[in-house]
Amino acid sequence: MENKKNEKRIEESIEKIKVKDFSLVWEDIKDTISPPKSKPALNWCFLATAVATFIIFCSVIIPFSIKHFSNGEDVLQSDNSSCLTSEEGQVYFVDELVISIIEGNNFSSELKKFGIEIVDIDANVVISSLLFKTSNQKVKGGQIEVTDDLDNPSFVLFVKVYDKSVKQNDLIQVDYNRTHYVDGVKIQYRIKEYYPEDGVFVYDIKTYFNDVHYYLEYTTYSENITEFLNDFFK
Amino acid sequence: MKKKQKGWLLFFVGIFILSIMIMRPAPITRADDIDAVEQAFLDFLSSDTDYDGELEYTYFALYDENLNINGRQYNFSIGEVNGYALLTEIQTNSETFYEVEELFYNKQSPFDNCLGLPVYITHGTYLYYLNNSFYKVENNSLVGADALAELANKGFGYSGVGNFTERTETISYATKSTESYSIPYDLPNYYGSVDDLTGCANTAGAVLIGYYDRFCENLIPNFKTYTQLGSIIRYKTASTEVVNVVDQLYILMETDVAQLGTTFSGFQTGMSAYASSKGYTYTTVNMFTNGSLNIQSYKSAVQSGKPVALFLTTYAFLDSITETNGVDTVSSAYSPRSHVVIGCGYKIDTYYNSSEQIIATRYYLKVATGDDSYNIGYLNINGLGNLDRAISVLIS
Repeated sequence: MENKKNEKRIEESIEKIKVKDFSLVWEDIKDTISPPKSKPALNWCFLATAVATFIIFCSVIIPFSIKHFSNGEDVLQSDNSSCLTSEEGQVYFVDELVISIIEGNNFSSELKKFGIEIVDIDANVVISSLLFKTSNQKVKGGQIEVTDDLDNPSFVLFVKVYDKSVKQNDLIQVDYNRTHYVDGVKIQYRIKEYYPEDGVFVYDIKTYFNDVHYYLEYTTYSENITEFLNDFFK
Repeated sequence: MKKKQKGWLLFFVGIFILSIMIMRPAPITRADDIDAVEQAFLDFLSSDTDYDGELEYTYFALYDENLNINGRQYNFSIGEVNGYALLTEIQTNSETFYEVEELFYNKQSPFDNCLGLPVYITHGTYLYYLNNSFYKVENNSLVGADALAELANKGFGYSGVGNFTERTETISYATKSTESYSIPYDLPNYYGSVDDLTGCANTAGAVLIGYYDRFCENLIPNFKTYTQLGSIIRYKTASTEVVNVVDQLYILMETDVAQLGTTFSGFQTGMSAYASSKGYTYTTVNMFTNGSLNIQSYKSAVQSGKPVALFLTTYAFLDSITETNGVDTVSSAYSPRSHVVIGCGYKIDTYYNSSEQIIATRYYLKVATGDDSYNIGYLNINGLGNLDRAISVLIS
């Protein structure tokens, strides 16, 4: 009797227990059973911080960069505002040009075929020469290395030229701390290296002359290269 | 909770766990026999780490875009230091290599959080496959078929230079000191592509060959790679002979065969084959320690006349350092491309505050950039770009 009463009491108690729906139970225990692998919840605080940082970065750094590089002297930009245009109006980038080896005595004539007229270099002994071409074989420049004597040189001259339609990298800052003029054409240069034990100077030279960008490296025993510049760019 | 509901709960939990286990390969503990992949991992680890302690490791498979197993992730511990390594299988015409593409200490692998099959098909990109689709691990975004194909084509090759964008850093200081060095007369300045725009590794290899031809005259037969004024060496620029070397390396390195550009294994195979064909030996030494460039090892290498080949997944060339009233503005050109350059020197700027304490150090590696704007320039390795590998090179 007593047991039946207890039984009934227990049954009544059980009936009063509210059992949660399965989905609610799963919600409570799922994290303890298995680490959550769902998509991480979006952290709004982090997102807001990231956006604010990006806005601040854009408003400070980009104007600074523009200001800095537009103030940098670049003879190619300042001396000839048309240097980026060509008959076709197309601009080419150095990185997209491929090289093509050419015999040294054809260097100037090959450039001339594509409207690039350069100073006379042909009188020298050619060490190497190549052309820069677009993917459809248009010549946009080239480079040539010459000397007076292969076995016992007194100088080595490296000349790189680009058509006016080739965009130059004006972000690389080279400290051309000397200037010389030849018939009104501004030529910038610097002593890049000096080897006192041999008395050898290495000069970096750049200019824009007759719609052609020139970059030269001149290795010589000369301490003063103005005479060389006068002869080269006459 | 009633028994019946408890039972359903356990059932769903079981299904849930089972589904995770099916999609994610269970870790495979170390086998008794070491296979080639494991040997590659152990060899690399032994050349890289200087941590002491017992080595323990497990691994699981990585997959390619066709869901074929193409590599492994190794989770390891050396004493109390944990780390992970990602290895991939690189097939050449003659051999199969297992390359360690990434190895980090005290860092969790991105694949540890992925929701499906881990897919690793190119440097620095971590995908997973789930429910017939590919997703990026970092943000679970869907990767479309075209994007996937592009990543697969890129593979683990190093392919070229370009696509630069500007990066700037400013450093304020009281005083500054600079330490610099370069291999005398630097390195040959070869650049430009002959027929394609993916041959940066071939050009880098040619730079090494052009340099060592000074000491090993038969490396480029019947050709002198330099002119000499007094005792001063000036390397010649590219010529027919150099272009021929580049063309040969394109074949020997299996460039553009299974991926865009050249893999590290392809570079090594090609250089070794070229040197051997000329009667010389090609030897390299890993310049990494504990997963990053050991600057002291690098300095020692270049100071002893050994150039260092640097393999980059994204990189930056130094444009300029402008000094104004105790503030340096460092401008660099950042490229998202993968590239190979050859190091020949370094420049280290150390910055001090007014109490003469070091507040910053910046490292720049002098390199043959393989780019005809940057020529022999500086690689900015201060938080810009990823240096995957660095090896000193000797050809003798």
